[in-house]
Amino acid sequence: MSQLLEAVYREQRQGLYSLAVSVTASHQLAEDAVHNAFERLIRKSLPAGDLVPYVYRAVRNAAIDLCRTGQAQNRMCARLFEEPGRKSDDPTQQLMTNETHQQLRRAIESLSENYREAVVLKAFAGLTFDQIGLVTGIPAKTIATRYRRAIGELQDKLSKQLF
Amino acid sequence: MKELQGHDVENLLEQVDLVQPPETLDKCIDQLFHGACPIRSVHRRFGFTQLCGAAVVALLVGGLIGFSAAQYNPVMARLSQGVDASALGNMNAASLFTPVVFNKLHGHSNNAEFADCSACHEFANKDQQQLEKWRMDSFHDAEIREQLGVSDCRNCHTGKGDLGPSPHVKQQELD
Repeated sequence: MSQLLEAVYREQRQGLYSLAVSVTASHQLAEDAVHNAFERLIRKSLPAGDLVPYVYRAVRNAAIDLCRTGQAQNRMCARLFEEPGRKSDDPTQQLMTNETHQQLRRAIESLSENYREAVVLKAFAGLTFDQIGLVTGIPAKTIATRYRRAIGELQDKLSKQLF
Repeated sequence: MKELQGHDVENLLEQVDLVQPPETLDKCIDQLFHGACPIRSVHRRFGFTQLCGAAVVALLVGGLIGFSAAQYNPVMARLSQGVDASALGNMNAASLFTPVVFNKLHGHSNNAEFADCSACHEFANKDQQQLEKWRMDSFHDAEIREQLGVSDCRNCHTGKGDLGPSPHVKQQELD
């Protein structure tokens, strides 16, 4: 079982870490959250079925636990993604200039916690709405709605800032 | 330039490079899966050298505080004459054990119950400067170890971390 768990970590490490950063707003706390979650998971008997949402849920809970201890910061100050370093001929990638990057980051930071979580889990971690529903304990349709609204908000903000 | 659409935003989100988890986290998760001690945070934040340095500093500070406390010990002894007379009065090196330490060690404020240290403790030498070992098991309120020949708690107790109930020794044997 621990091999499965290890495989999930290898495949999802960036997504898990991003989720933890999103919740705790701190790289250090995110690191602690992921570690704490896996420390607990290793000692538990794992459920049958899809482990991915189960592990995400464990990391999310560990991150929330750390927030409850008052260690997390109120505002997002930890980067969720790297600065763009390469140039491409692809027009969409050309948009990823430093300025665009900063605007996108600020737009994501300004999202409400629920919307930001939906974006992180869907767009960054690549989970399905059903999986996100299992992670958060919220119906998949609600998650889908939040995600679409979040994208809409990002679209509005980026349109105003970039064009 | 055309207006930004929802799918453009999604494309942007898909193309960002997520922040990589630090290598220390990968190593520690790896250690978790392969049985190493999970004290990641301490190692990560301080490192081995800093940890050793901190330990040395702590030892020095502890020694200094201990030395300072020893200088004030007569004052403390005078402040607790009642305790000294009963609990520590029969010890040659009573000044080593202040009432505060005495109570903290036993987790108890009733000094009368621990009136005579030698009832529970054996001493290393005539100077009695150091408590050698338990002779009486205060938790079982009897010289249970000698009576039952118990040298290892795990012979009777089960459970991880906390000592669970004994499957073999009946409670009345401990009363």
